[in-house]
Amino acid sequence: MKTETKYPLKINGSMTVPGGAFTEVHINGSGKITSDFCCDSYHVNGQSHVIGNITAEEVTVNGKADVQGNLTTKEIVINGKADVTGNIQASDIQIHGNLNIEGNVAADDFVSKGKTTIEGNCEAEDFTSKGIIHISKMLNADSIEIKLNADSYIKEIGGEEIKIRRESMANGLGKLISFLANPKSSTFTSDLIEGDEIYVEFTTAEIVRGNEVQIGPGCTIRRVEYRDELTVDPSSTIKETIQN
Amino acid sequence: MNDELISKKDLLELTGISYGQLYRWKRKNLIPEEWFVRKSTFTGQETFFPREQMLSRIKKIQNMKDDLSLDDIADLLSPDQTSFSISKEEILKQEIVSKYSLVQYAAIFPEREELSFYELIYLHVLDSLLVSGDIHVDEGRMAIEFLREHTQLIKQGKSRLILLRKMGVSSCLLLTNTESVYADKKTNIVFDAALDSLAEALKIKIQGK
Repeated sequence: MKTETKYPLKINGSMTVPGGAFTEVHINGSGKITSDFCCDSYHVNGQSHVIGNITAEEVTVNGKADVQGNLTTKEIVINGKADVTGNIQASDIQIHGNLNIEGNVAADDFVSKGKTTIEGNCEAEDFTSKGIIHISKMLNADSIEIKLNADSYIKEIGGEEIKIRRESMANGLGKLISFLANPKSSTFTSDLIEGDEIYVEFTTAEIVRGNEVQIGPGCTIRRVEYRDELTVDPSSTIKETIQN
Repeated sequence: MNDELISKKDLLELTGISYGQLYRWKRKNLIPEEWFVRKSTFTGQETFFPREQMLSRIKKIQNMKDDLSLDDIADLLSPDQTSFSISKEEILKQEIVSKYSLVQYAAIFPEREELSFYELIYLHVLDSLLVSGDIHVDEGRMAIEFLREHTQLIKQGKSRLILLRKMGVSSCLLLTNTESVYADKKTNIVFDAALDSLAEALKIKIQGK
């Protein structure tokens, strides 16, 4: 068997290169990669533009990364901004900055503390959002925790344990964030929330369906369907309640 | 069509599974995306499933999930099985097919020592044909050669093999994505099998050993 020798790729100035197989890829200036590539690690500190699919062990974006294709990796950390036109598949996704995806996302662990927009579906085992989240199709995850810091929207949510609440202002950092993002008015909007255990706050939804449903303060829900247990905060309005 | 569908609510009640399980199985591709049928009802949009397929699939998953991980089950249920091979001795040892069928198969394709998963399906088809006594060896040979030529098509899943006989002349049909097939009075449908369910049964049989 012939094995290919892989080299690192470093772009410090401005450069356009074709893809291939690399060990480490560092883009510190402005880099454009014009075809598919695979590597051990992909670091973007400046600005990068990839036309093709990326397969990497780990991806770190501190600057700005554009990907016109799919991204497959084990671990991805976004501190800057990333735009992906295809799908993302990863074990661990951490977003502290801004991520836009036109396709679907599949991950084991998904944590977004920044702003995330997903035009397709999102699948994860554990899903946490503490910033702004927008999913145009469906979120399917075992455990879902959304802390509202600004208006968020997910068309459909399905899972086992779903918790949606306004970020508590317990610590100093939380206070600062809330001062900037004004969480007083932040609400969550969805068409359907479906799970075994559900807790929602400040949520506007068409249907909430589950076994144990807790409706916290500030909700407007057209219909709640529950099996075992339902508690409703007096400040919330529910048009229709059905026990199955 | 309505009585063949089951609503999500009824399904959960009937099978006793939870929302969490249903969504998890969907995520792991144990339940194909196209089984989730959206329909608008007087209460808004609801999700429905093909009743029989869904109930048997859930039963299968429930039976297997104690012994196997969800990923293993997903492998078993997926129609694509490219990384599998089995030797002829192993086939006999595990009593997957009768010895006679294997001899016949070896006569058609003498060059093969190891069989891929698809070849194993064809062998299984040949075996069930011969054992049932509905066909003679030449017809079996025709069916197998025909199937082998169309492995690429079968890999995509949802295909069905039909063997017809009219006035002593037999022919094979390979159908994809079909609901039902009708034949005229003089034509006999000698054999009709969905290859996906054959494959599933076969996988479970091998896994069970």
